[in-house]
Amino acid sequence: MASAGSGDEKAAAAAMITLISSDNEKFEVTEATATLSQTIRHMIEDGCTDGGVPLPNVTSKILARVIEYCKKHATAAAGEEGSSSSFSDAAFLEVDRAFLEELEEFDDAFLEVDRATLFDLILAANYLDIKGLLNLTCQKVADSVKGKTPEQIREMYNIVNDLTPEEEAEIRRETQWAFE
Amino acid sequence: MDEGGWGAIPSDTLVGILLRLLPTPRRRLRLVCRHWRHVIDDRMPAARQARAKVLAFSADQGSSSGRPRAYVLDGLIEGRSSELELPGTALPAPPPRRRRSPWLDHDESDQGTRIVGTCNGLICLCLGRGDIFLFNPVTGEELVVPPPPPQPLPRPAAGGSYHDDDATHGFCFTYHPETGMYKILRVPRHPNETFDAVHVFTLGEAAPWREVPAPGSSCRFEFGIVAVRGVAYWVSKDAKRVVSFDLGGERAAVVAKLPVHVPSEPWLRRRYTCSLADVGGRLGFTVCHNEAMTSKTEVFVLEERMTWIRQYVVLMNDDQEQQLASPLLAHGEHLLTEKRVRVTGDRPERMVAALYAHRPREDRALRCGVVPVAARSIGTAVLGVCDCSGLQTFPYVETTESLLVYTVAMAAARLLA
Repeated sequence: MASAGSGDEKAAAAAMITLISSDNEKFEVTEATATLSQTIRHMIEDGCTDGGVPLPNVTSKILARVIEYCKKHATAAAGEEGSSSSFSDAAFLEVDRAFLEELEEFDDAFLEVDRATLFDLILAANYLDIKGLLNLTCQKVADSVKGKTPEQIREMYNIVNDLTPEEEAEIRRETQWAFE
Repeated sequence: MDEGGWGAIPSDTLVGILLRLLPTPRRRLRLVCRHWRHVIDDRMPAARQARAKVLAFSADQGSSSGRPRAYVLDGLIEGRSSELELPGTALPAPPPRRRRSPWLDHDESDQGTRIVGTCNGLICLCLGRGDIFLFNPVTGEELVVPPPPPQPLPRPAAGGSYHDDDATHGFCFTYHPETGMYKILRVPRHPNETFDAVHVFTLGEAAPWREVPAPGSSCRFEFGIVAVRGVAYWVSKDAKRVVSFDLGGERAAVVAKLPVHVPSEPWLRRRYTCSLADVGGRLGFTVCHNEAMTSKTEVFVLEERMTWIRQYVVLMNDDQEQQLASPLLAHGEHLLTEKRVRVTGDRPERMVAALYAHRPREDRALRCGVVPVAARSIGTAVLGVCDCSGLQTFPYVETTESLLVYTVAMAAARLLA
């Protein structure tokens, strides 16, 4: 992975993309980082990134976090490509594993955010079509509802229970499927 | 904005989130709100509204083959059944041991393998003196449950025939539908049948068995412990009240009186056989009155308002020697009975256990379903098992629900400890 980054600074520098948040803040990122987003990748392929890519659905606060994620994972992706082709010795695998662990730690720390931010990240990941980030954030939400009662989930996420008592009773009856 | 912001989450993303949950716990999340119900109903792989089948389990004791066997009755009335492959750990059988009186006797051995209970297709097995593990026959996964805290072994009452299967009798395997948690309950068996706390094990939780206070409780073990819908039930020592233990809130409470007066005098008690039962997903209580040539068994069911209604009456001609299946005694429209036959023709003599299904007829006068069992109406034989001294019956559904998540969680918890 180190080799992939150090290769040609100039080419990388040349392929910088400007992302513009909803509050008009500009972020300069490498193409490798930006193309983790399928949405942006398509824009680049279509050649419509000159003058920056406006992202009207993403605030600067969230975009900064998303870019942080993409930067980290773009290096990881480069590392993976390296490993599949040229490196196969044990030493490299060792490095690889250490790096993957580091990446996991990064992900865990990355998810240490409040619920509102988590949801904004999901929306951004969805809009920008960043598979890894969407996976990560969705899993976090799924984990948070595991083992909780519907009541606790509503409370946790401020969801209004709009089911009528009859509908609730109906669902409860159906949930007993394992017995009848 | 509304904190948390589910409103903005596109349905596709909600689908993506809910797909990460196991199908069974996911089903109950339809209770959150209409939108979730809609998404789970319409967008999730059809959670099979599978009808539970009957699982018949033949313990290994008293059999020459010395091996526990389990059968799934795929078509109850057609008599279609298939044998389940039990995990290897369940199979190393103890040397065959002849019980003094296996005949029509609920006295099970402390040896060998028994089923504690089934939930959503997961089977909880108990080996020997109390090693417990869970098993999913569909995925073949096994999960070993840490041993429960030791308990003082009961001293057999003077002259009494204390069942020595206490190692398994105090256990109860439950699924709590509201939280999606699997828990195992152990009611401690003290010599005087009283206790102040029970033990609870939650599947996948870091803590091992927890002691949960239940001050001033007592349990009449011979009536059994039955779990339905995440609540365990037993009968108090004085044989007057039913105690419930909700595995969600983990609290014991008296919920109802027994529907009949159970005499406490030992010589009268012999004429009554009582037991708690699973009547197709509801708590039942059966009372068998033994008369000279016949027996009459009443099956009561606990209604939602905690009142009993008499659901069935089973009239048995003594020559039929069938008894109600246990702990699951009703499935769909049918009542299940069991008969044990000693086949003496060949040597060595063999025990055969048979399972029968009966369709009760509605009796207007008695206002309940009636099942007469006599030579002319023995019911439909649905399963016969050779070399088997008795069958236990349970509800069972095939599930791909993985035990792996719990194994990983428990291994991680052990590492951290």
